[in-house]
Amino acid sequence: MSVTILAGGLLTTVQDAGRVTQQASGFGVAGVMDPWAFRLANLLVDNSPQAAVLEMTSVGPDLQFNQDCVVAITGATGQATLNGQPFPFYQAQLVLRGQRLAIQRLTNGVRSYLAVAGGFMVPKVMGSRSTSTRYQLGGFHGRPLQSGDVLPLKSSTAYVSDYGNRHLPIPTYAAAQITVNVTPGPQFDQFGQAVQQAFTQATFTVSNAADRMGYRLTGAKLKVAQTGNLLSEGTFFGGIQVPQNGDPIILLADRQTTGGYPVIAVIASVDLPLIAQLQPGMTIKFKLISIAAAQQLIEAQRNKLTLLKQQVGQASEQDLSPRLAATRVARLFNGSSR
Amino acid sequence: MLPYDLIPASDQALNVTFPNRIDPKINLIISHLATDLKQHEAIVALLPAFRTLTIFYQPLVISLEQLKLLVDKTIKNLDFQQTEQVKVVHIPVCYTSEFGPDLERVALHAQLSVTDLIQRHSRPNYLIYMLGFLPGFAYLGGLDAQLAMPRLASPRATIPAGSVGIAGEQTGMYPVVSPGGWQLIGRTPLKLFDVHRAQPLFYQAGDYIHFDVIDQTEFARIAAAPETYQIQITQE
Repeated sequence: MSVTILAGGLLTTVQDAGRVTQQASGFGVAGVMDPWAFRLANLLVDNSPQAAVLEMTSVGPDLQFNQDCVVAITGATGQATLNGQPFPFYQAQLVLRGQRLAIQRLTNGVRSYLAVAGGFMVPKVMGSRSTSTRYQLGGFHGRPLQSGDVLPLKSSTAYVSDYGNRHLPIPTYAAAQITVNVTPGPQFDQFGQAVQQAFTQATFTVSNAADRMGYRLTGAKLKVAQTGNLLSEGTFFGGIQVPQNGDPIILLADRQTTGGYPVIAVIASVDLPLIAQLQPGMTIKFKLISIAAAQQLIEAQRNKLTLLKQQVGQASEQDLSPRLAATRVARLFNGSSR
Repeated sequence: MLPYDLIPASDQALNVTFPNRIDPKINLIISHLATDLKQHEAIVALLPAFRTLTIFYQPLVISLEQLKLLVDKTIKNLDFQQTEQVKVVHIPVCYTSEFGPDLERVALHAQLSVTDLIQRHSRPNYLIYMLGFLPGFAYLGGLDAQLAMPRLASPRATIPAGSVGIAGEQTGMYPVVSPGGWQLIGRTPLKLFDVHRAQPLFYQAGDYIHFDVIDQTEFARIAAAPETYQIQITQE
């Protein structure tokens, strides 16, 4: 009922949708950086959308499974092996007890999500299983996974009978430059036209100060209007705040709940995954769209998800006989492991 | 009613923005508005701050226009008296140099004896305007102006949980260990923030904090078993 961590990788943490409802108590949200890849990982193994997953960064962990389970990896892709054989991304796979899954360097994107059918069973803290390394709470003892950790899984009954047919297309993440949609932030008007134009015309570079809290960007210096101190107010996932030095910062999953810098724009929700998959040195251009347009994109994404759900389900119905065979084989494995 | 603006802050958040000042009246409206909106199924979370209430919502369940109407209506129907009773949470604090290394310096700066400083700091009921910065960190209003004191020139790397301090015209408590530049004058033995407690925090925005002076013996007694301490909450 567990996974043993043989090597932790660069930064591997347990995450789910985070603690959105706890912000009023000053407790940061945390949660996954790429909500779309997170959703697809759980879809592939037939989990609830809220089930906790592993978020892996740049170099993944080595895992030994102590029970049979169905596993899928989404988000960034690269090299992964199961007992030395290539392991596919974006595809539900049966991993047997004792097998070793090694996720190596991620080359297409930065952050991958590993879901197991049933989910990881670390205790919920303030309503979520997400790791907050800042507060050293949640997830697995509030810290990234390291060699020797034994991570509990939900009972082995969470078996996905049609796993052989559950797969999705692999996305290609940008290697150099992206354009992301943003909506005007709450202090957009305070910046004045010249700064607003500079913001949408300039190309910004992700600096080395880029982590789960936020990315500091360099490029055009955005002059902040001297309207006195802004009283602290709520922050946003993808909020682009501008401190006095004029270099914007994109606030991400591990941001503080409140902040005192003016926010010029906020990344459109559907484009947050693009930001999550960026690495230092890559460049961003911002495209300003209306709130209404951004909300239409949310609707389009929901429709796309509905379609993907149907495809994942339908594939299994079309291929009934292999599925049955797979089920029987898997039952044999399950039986032998009890 | 005070004037306010409804400013879309992101594609999933709306800010209710009141005049740009720290004002107990604004705080009262925001607290009540947050309570009344909490029940709505399309609202995911509410984040009150000094003069804003951020409403996180599901745009596919409620449209921005519908949400704006809902907020307008809720504000219009707010039912509260400014004279109504308030919740005061009593936090026991031991003011000594051991727990408050800056105690004597703050007293000197305020031109008070340490005894008078303690007396004046533990007198008011401090309004919690908002929580932020750290889990359970309360932005308190109502510090005696004479006790105001600039931050430390160079922040301490580690401030113990429970520390009580002053920074500028603000006073506050560190619920968790953190670096910080506040001038420390005392410490509470309580665990202000504990995720393993049914109620991780004793207070929320809109409540008041009162510091009750305790001595070192009492501090040691409470610190030995903070989970058995019955927090005192009064209606005043």
